[in-house]
Amino acid sequence: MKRKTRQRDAIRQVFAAAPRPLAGGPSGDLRRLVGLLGVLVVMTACGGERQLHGVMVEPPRDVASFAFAQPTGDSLRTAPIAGRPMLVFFGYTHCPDVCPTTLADWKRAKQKVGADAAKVRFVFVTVDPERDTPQIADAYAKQFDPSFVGVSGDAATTAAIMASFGVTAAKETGTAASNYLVSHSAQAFLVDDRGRVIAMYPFGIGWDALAADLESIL
Amino acid sequence: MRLLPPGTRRVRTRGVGPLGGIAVVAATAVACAAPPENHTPLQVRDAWVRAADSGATGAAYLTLANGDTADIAITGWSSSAAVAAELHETMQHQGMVHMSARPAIVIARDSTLTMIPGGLHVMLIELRRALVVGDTVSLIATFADGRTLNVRAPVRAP
Repeated sequence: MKRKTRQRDAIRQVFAAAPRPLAGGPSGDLRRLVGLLGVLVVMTACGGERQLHGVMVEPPRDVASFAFAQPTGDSLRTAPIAGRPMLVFFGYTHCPDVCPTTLADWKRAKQKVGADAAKVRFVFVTVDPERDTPQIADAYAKQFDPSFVGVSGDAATTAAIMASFGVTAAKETGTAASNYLVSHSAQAFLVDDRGRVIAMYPFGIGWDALAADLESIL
Repeated sequence: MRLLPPGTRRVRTRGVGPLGGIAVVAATAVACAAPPENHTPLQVRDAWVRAADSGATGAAYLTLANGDTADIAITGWSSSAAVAAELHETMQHQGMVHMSARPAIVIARDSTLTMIPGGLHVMLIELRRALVVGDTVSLIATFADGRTLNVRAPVRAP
């Protein structure tokens, strides 16, 4: 773990040290390429950076921490906990297709990983706090697995966590019966135990990719 | 796995003879059908409904094979388990997903409509009861010509 962290830091430094091209000129690109090659050589020499099946976020991106009131009266804090990576998905409980499919995939991945998966914090964040109370959001997540947590924040918290993860959602006019539907970013985020997004899982990537990655980082 | 593109897929479905196995599955799914739908040329297979809480939104998935010589348009859905039922399609665009209602959908002759997670699904709006694994849900598809098709779909784990 520490060695890999050092490698990552080295990558960051190389990128930081590479002079920025004035206007994306060839010399800047070339310098960056040389820098990248250097990184690759270092990585190869050290046994290689971890490869994930998800869409890797390089360098890992820090996300802010948030607190959500839970039905139990406690609050769920997304602040990092050592040894406990976190999976975060943004959806809404009136979502009939993508959200349940994603959470069902989480459950399959969790089962595949086995006992170690208990270290993972599985968090479903509603982007529809207007309809999803904390109770509804949490009950929804727990339908899939009792260890899953569903949270619903106030409008400001919801907007802030979405901005931090770079997800968007928009109310769309539904039919008379469905009232409104919500279009939303559908990727799940894997956050390491230092509070950094290290990979994203677009909808449809398959639970086995997630299971493999969880096994790899745990 | 579920990366099959939603939509239609051509299959040989003329008549029932060559498709005994499918007919058995379809017969299970179409059990309890009222007289009119016995004459509809759609064969149902792989029908299932995701387990969900009462009051929640559910989804049903099924595959419909049109073995007729004419196209069939489905213009309505209903279920005794939900306040309303509508065919929707999940679409992905640049990482965003949204759903579009499909108030009418045509299943061309000799082709198959496949519903899968992440694609077409019958959205069950405001479930009247909890859908529990092992339970069955009845769905009715109404065709443009007024005929109906009854489907009984088992509830599966989410």
